[in-house]
Amino acid sequence: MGEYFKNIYSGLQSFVAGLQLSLHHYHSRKKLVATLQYPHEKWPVEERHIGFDLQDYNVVRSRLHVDINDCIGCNQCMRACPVDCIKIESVKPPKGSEFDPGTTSNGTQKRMLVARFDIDLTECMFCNLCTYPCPEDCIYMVGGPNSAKHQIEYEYSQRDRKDLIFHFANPPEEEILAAGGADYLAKKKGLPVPEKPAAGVAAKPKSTEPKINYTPVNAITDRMTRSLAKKAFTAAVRAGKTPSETAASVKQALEEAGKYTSELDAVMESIGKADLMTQAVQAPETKLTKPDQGGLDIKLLNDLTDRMTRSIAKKAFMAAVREGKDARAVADSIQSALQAANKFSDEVKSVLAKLQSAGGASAATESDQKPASVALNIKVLNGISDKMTRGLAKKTFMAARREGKIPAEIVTEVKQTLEDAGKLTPEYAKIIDSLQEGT
Amino acid sequence: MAEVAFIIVAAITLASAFFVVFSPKLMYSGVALFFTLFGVAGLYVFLYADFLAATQIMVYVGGIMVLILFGIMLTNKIASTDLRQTNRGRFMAGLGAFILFLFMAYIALTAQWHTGSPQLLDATVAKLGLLILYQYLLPFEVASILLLAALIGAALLSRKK
Amino acid sequence: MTSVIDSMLKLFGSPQAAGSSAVSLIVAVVIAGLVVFTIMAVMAIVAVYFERKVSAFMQDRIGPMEVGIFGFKGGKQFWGGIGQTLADTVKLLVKEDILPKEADKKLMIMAPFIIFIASFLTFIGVPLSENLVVSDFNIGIFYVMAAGSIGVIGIILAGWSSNNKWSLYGALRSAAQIISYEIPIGLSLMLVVIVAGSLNFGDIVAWQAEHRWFFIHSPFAFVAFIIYVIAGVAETNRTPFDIPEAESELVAGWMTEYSGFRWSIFFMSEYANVLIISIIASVVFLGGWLSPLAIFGVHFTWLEGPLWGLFWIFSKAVFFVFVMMWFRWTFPRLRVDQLMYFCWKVLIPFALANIIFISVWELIF
Repeated sequence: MGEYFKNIYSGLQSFVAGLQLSLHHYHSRKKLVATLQYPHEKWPVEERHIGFDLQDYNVVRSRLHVDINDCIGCNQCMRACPVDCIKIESVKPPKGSEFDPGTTSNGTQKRMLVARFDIDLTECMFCNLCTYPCPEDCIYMVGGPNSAKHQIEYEYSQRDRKDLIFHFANPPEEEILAAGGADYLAKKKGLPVPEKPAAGVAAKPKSTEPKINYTPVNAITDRMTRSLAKKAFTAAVRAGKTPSETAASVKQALEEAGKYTSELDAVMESIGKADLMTQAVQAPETKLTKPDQGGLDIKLLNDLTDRMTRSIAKKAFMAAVREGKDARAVADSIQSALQAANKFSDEVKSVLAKLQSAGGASAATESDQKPASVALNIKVLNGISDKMTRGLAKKTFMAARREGKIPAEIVTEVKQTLEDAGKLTPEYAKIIDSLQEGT
Repeated sequence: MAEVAFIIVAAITLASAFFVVFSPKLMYSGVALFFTLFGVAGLYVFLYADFLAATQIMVYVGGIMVLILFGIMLTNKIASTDLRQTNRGRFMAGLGAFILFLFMAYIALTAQWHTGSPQLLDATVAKLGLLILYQYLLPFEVASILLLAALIGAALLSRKK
Repeated sequence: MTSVIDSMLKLFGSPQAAGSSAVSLIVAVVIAGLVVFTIMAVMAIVAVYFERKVSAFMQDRIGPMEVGIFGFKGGKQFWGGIGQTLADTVKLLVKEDILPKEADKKLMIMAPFIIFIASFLTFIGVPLSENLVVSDFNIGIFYVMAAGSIGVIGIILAGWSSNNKWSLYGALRSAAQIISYEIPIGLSLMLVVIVAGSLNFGDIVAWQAEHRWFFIHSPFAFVAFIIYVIAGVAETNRTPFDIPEAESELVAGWMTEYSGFRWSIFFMSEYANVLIISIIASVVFLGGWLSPLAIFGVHFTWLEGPLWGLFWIFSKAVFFVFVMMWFRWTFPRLRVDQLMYFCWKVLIPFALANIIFISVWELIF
């Protein structure tokens, strides 16, 4: 009988304890939630390494990407590919044609128009062999050392297998015609090849054709939101709306999708002010400098003698310019890239100084417009040695960033979480603080 | 209105009782019995015997029916759906039923029926309880002793030896 | 207390005129039935959503977050996937209806309706507020228990007619469990009946308004309350007493062979039973439609009335539904022998002792 009542008593005790535990989880769900809303949110990917010297050979084998504007159509990657998953077709303008295929970001004059650049990623075996021969560094694996050029993408699922063939070059037909590609087009469509060569005919060359200016929209950091905004933006511009109308329709589209936050106000404002159309290449004398470089000139970097150094510097330069940084920030990012590669020298310093002074004045005003959020780099957290702690910190970081908090808030939140979990040491605190400094 | 409803309920009761006897499948007989018992509960409702009707449902439908279905499922070929009713000894059973019928018909014809429309009583439960515990205490206790004996017997039978 | 049907009859026409009374009775019954059916259907849809969210939060997940209603997706966490169960309902209703070849088709088709009728009949006697009950019985509690005991027949038939070993074992277990746990439920409700002196829900609540709520009436009434909640969870076949449909042993128990519309009827009845058990718990033990402030002797007249009664009764019931989900995601499933031990050797002796003690208590105080 004593046993019977003892059982009932301990049963009641564990009953209450169990209920307390699950209620605790129910109440602190915001902190404890362990899942991500997968297609919308993704875990940051750990980088993997090959080779001996990590700085030089660090490669993430994620997905091939081509910056098609930099491609000169040399076919070297196609030849290097062991499984023949790259297919390039290019159109060479006939002699005397006025067609200008443009220049690469390294300043090389292109000689032909790349009409087709397909990579079949169902066949790609991620050997990375195609990236080495590229003279313009325009084909690369995304992420890792290239994350400045293209963010990492470890999952690119499609509904149809055919969609895994990525078409990087999609020049409009007029452009191919203008480049003298009438034969090519006819062949592609299975039509008989026309007799008359179409060189230099009526169709407008690319250089004078107005293009839609996406710069203000690109300031949006969240990918989903950005693509939605771009869609609405394009539709509005095509419909011939004024900048302020365009801004309104973009805003409406985002609000309908539930993606509109107050941080986007600044972006909307800049859309309202911006020129919606730009001339891709305006005049012969500015040919070598893209208009959005803010007066910075990549040629200054040609003063660097060492080839390796130069190419790293140019890469960093391009990446920084694309992000819309001002002269000082560009110089800083070049400097940090070179320091990371152990290539920083006095020579570089002087060149960078020149660079800064050249572009400083013109670009200074731009820096105010940059949104205050999210340039934090999660990789800084890799310095945390304990695996559990690192995971927790990263999770909190991602969650905070998702909510669109400012850097200082993110840092305090990460610290708070670690402290709650009893994992915060002074060493880790320093690492987390350096998140903010690294921006 | 009440007559129509009464006829419907009575018809369901009789039809399903018929089905209980003549259905070839044992399980169907069991299910038909469910409707019979339910119909009887409905007949109680027409007599304003709400407590009795609910008791009928609770004891017979909720308890005895479950036991019967349990019994059918546990006796034989537990997992097969074509459990047959054999109806062996039809003649003797028919004779017995006929004699019973004659007996009941005699009673029905000769009895002094209390006629008149049923009274809507306010709370039957309290009166029933008082009747059971004062006037009919002995039958009530006998029934409970019978049930207790059945319970003890069942426990004894199911014990491991 | 007047019932819905009575007041509707008054509304439609006098019962004296013979022709109109038949028509108006039918109309009144049909309308009341539709209302009950709607409550059951809506309850099932809402409860499934509620259950999925609660389970997710207790397991450190977020739960459904994708499906909205007409593009409205709700907020960040709780209402994030507000349209999920609506979409699931549509999916269930358009699903192919499968009857196994060797199954007993007539019984298999009939079984879900017996279960549904059981919860439907039970709902008729359940009060939703003061003066808001489809049909007000003198024997309210007893009627509800009796009607609730029909459902087990449907379960047995569903399990047997599926011609599947899992279904059959599920049905056997379910029948044994439901019959056993009806006893502690009946005994704990009997305690209340002894004290209040009536089987009618209205009288019981009136007693509580006059004296005090039953769960704080006496220590024995509180024990009865605990026994009622535990046995109620078992009566609705929910975890930790879900051995009839134990997923890890019996696939889905007696529902294994069902799909589509019939299965959704099972689901609807199951959640209707959860709601019934919760409403009865709140009516009998937690003062029903009385405002909680009445415990402290505070009476605001503007907090009373039928609509507030509906609100209070449902908020108490929703609390019980939450408690049931809380149990479900906290405790592991009992073994069959533990289940029977718990009922016959713990709950029933305590409930019986309770009745004796409460009688003594009533004689003394």
